This record gives sequence, structure tokens and C-alpha cells, in this order.
Amino acid sequence: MIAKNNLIKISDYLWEIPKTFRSDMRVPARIYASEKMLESVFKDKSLEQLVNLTTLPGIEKYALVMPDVHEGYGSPIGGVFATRASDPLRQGSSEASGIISPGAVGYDINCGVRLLKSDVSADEIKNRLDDLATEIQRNVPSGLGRGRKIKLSVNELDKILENGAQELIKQGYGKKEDMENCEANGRLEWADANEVSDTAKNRGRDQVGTLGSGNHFLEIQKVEEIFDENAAKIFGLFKNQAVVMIHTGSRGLGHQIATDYIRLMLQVMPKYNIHLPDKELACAPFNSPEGQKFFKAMACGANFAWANRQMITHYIRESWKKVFLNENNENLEVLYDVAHNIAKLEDGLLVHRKGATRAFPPSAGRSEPTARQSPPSAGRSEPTARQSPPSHPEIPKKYKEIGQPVIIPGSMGTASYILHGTEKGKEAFYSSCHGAGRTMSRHQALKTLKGQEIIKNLENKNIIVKCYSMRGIAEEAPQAYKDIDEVVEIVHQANLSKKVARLVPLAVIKGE
Amino acid sequence: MKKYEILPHPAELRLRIYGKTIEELFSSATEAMAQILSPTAMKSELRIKNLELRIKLKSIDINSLLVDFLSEILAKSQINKCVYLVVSSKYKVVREKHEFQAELTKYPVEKFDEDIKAITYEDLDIKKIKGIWLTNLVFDI
Repeated sequence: MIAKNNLIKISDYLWEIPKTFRSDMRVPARIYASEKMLESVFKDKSLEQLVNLTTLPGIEKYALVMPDVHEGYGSPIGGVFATRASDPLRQGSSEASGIISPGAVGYDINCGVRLLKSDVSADEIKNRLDDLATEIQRNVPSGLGRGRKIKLSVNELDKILENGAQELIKQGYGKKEDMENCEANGRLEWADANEVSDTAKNRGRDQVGTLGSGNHFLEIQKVEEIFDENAAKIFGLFKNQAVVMIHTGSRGLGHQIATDYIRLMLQVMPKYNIHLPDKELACAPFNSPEGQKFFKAMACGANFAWANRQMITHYIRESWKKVFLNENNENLEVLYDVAHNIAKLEDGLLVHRKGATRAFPPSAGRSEPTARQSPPSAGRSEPTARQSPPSHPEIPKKYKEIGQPVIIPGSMGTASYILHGTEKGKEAFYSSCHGAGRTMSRHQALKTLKGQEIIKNLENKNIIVKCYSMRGIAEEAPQAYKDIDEVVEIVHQANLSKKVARLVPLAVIKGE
Repeated sequence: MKKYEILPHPAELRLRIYGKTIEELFSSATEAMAQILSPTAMKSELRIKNLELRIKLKSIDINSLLVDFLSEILAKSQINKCVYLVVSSKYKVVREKHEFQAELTKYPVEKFDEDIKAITYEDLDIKKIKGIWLTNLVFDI
């Protein structure tokens, strides 16, 4: 067990477990937390899982966790680390090549969030809010039933896997600006559908435009407080503005890609002389054939997730248009769309984030960014570190001055936040937290909390809840999570990202 | 003897699975997954006869074998919108490879109660204690 006396205090918001703590650690482990919040971190296996990350071959500097950390499997949720992507492949050598680990990305590849901004204030839509929430719930299925009526052909799906949200925009399910305001423009170009199994494709064929369950949600929110007027102006946010948040991922397709590749990695690890304390961290050298295959398949999962959020955006726009017919307020613009679970090449390192948000800083004075993460090449690019891009290439032009929007969803019925990236974030591989972080198991929440009571409490706060399942409500009750205000305050005080606006929910639409 | 029980986990679903034999342990795990995906499906009279699923797998060790077996059933459940129960099965070790073959019957599902994303290796350690095979099993939900 790891206790407080094993930790070195670096600052009020940063703690370190030294490399000497366990003999198999290659680098130290770091925890972003306040002293108060640290207490909750000791209650589960988060820190053991964090220490396990430090044993991964080719890891750079340290492994770290964000303040919303909680126990996961393999990597803790909130885990971030980077491996040397330029390492040559050293098969069977005791010297470690930098690895890629499907388990350290998580099964829900590119689980992430998108925020849509309206032109109107919350007051202007309040009389139709219930209608709007009902219409959105009707239009966006959870996908736990028989999926959408339309099942994509494998050929149609392959186009989405390789072109992401851009494919749907081409088909008319969005506009060019949606793509410009999305991480990686909604497409990782090195995706190769040939590296995705038929099983994974079959799991995803009827799931484009579905929400999923668990902590995934849609929320109509209002901007309650602005912390940084200049940043808010650049982001197009104003006080009392009505906005819509989308939180979902790559659904069964992404889950199956991760399952397939964890199995493959376990089979090939002996070949690369890789020995790990936890099978769930199964990995292969990034520059091995297996590492490259996963990187291309993971990109397909990420593209599918961006397409999923794009399709949901389309359904929300349709719902909005239907409810506010002829009211001339149907404009919903994408502020940004960002992944929480992904591995990407950034400044020559392969940064793994599992339950953490990328938070790129302002790019003034840096080399001119391009829209691509990897450089252009004929045909499909080989994603090697040698081709790694100039710094922070994915920030939309209009946000360069202030940094990337960082979208942090709260738990059901609580606040969410918009922040911006900072140069200080470099110490955390330009990462921030991704939510509140669970403190109570779903099972415990079901035993102690009643769905109906939670709905009543939310209604008392004038929050509308649309969910077919009382169980889903109880499992995701705000009491089961850390205080989002405290979590965000830590990344703000640690200068990993800075607060721009606080959003509060008006209506919650849950999966199941 | 109970087939499984639910244990605490901060975010995922942790179970303990029991069986008098390896085959029974795998069957209990399959039933636990089916119950979580859709507790009502097995009560349905819509059981699809003559459409049983046959699975034959080889894995590097027994823990991986259970993950691989349940992962295959989970994928088929989600693709075919049904849950499965084991009807008959056989476990053996051949040249250091762990093999499992099973025949399963399926029950259609209108809507899943839970979205199990994946079967994880977290906490997985199949062992025999006082004549009973058991293991913890964590589903990513």
C-alpha cells in the first residue's frame, strides 16, 4: 500500500513518488492533488496502478495522474505518460524501446467531449427547454437496443474509420467549421481500416450517432460565470449563453479494437522481452509491426468517435431546429471537440492519456502550426516519430492567441468548465483533468441512492432529467463523484490550464 | 453454491466467480455476464433453439482463456442482440496451450440493461481454494 509518507511534496498541488519506491520503476510517479484531495486517492488502487505505469519500457520523465484520478484497470483513470516514439526497435534486447499500450488508452478509444454554442441566452429557451430535451432524447438513441435503423455497410464504415468526422461532413451531416473546431480536424490521417477486425466493424455498424451508457450524456447548459473575459471572447462564450455538451466515445467498435490488440500485445510481449506487473498494460514497441498496427487501428477508433459526436451534433441541430421553428436562433457552433482516451505523437513523444484532456498552450512565437498531426505524404503516412510535427499543430487558428479550449464535463447535475491550455502545462505533457472522478462504486451508488430522489433533487434545482433508466440515474448521481469545483481548482492553481467559464446544467439527457 | 457475486469497484463492475470445475467457472462467468447485460432475457420464452453458438479457443494461459472466451461471447451478444448461456463445454491443456470449447444457446434481447465495454485482466487470477475454482473478474462498463 502507498501512504502519504511515501510521497514527496513538490508544491501545494503536486506530489511525487520517487523512483526508489519500487525496484521496477523506471521513472518517478507524480500526482496532481491538493492535500485534502490526496486523502481520497489513498482509498483505492489508483496509486499502485500509477506506479505500474512507471515500469513501461521507454517511458520519459514520469508517469502522472490528474486530480480526478480513480482506480481503473491497467492505467488509473486520469493517467498520463509519454514514451520515446523515436526509439529504434530492439527485439529481445534488455534495453527498452518506447512502447504503445492499448490498455493505457482504454477500451473507449477517443471517449471525449464536444461543446456546441448557441447565439441565444438560457432565458430565451427556458419555456421550450423540456420540449428540446425530449426531442434530443428521441433523436439520439443510447444504442443499447437494436441501434439505429440504418446499418452501415462495411465499405461505408471503412470510409468513416479512415476519414472520421470529415466523412460525415462530406455527406451533409455538418459544416466545414465543425471540422476546423475539432481536435485533429476530426480525422487521424494514418488510420487504416485494414487493421480493424471484422468483429469490431460489426459491433460499430449500427452505432454511429448513439450515446452509449454509463457516464455518457448530453446536457443543455448555460454559461453561469466567466473567469477570463478575453479568453471567453475568443472562444465566443458569453454570460447566460445556452450551450450543449456531448460526452461519448467510440462505442462497441473502439472497445473491440482495444480487446483485439490487448490480446495481440500479450502474445508478442515475450518476443520483445517485455515483462509487466499488470497484463492490462500489455504493449509492444511503438516501432514494431504490432505497435504500428495498433496505432493505425486506434486512429480508426478515434475517427469513429469523432464521427459519432458529429452525427449526434447533427441530431441535436435537427432537434433544436424543430423545437425553435421560425425563431431564428438555430445556430449551434462547435466550440471544440477533444479526446480523453488516446495516444498521440506530440513533440516526438507518444503521449498516452486515459481519462485526461490534452491542453495545448498558446502558440505565439512557435513554429507555424499546420492542421495535421503527422506531415503530409503520398498515400497513407507511416506514423513514426521522425515525422512528428512542429509543436502544437492542432490548435484552430482563432484560438492560437489563448490556447486550446479544454472542456471538462462535471458529473450529472453539477457544473462543467471551459479552460484554456498554458505553457506551464508542458510539465504534464500538456494535459489537464477530464471530469470529476468517481469516489463511489456504481454498485454502492445503486445500494445507497434512489434514482427518483436524485431526479427530485435535480428538479428542485430546476434541472430537467431525461433518462429511461432509474438505475442509470442512481449510478451517476453527483454524490458518487468528487467535487468538480475542487478538481478544476487544482489544475487552475497548478497552471496546467486556466479557467475561462463555468457552465451549469439546465437539462440532462442520459443514455441508460 | 452461488455462481457469482458483485464486489465493490470505484468505476467498473467487479465480480467474484465460482465453479466446482473449470468448465463450471467459465459457465458461471458467462451467466453472470448475461444477467448483467439483460436480467430478463433468460426468462423469455423466445430462446432460439437450433441456433446454438459453438466456440473453440486456444490461449496462452487459463486467465487469458477466460478473457478471450467472454470477449468473444460479448462481441457476439452485441452484434446479434442476444445473450448466451453455456450448454456444454470442455477445457484441456494441449502442448502448454489452454483450450476451451463450448456450445451455447442464445436468448434475444430487445434492449441491453448494461453496456459492458470489455472484459479486463484486472484482478483476474483463477485458482482453486478448498475444492472450489474462483476468480475476480472486472468488466469495463
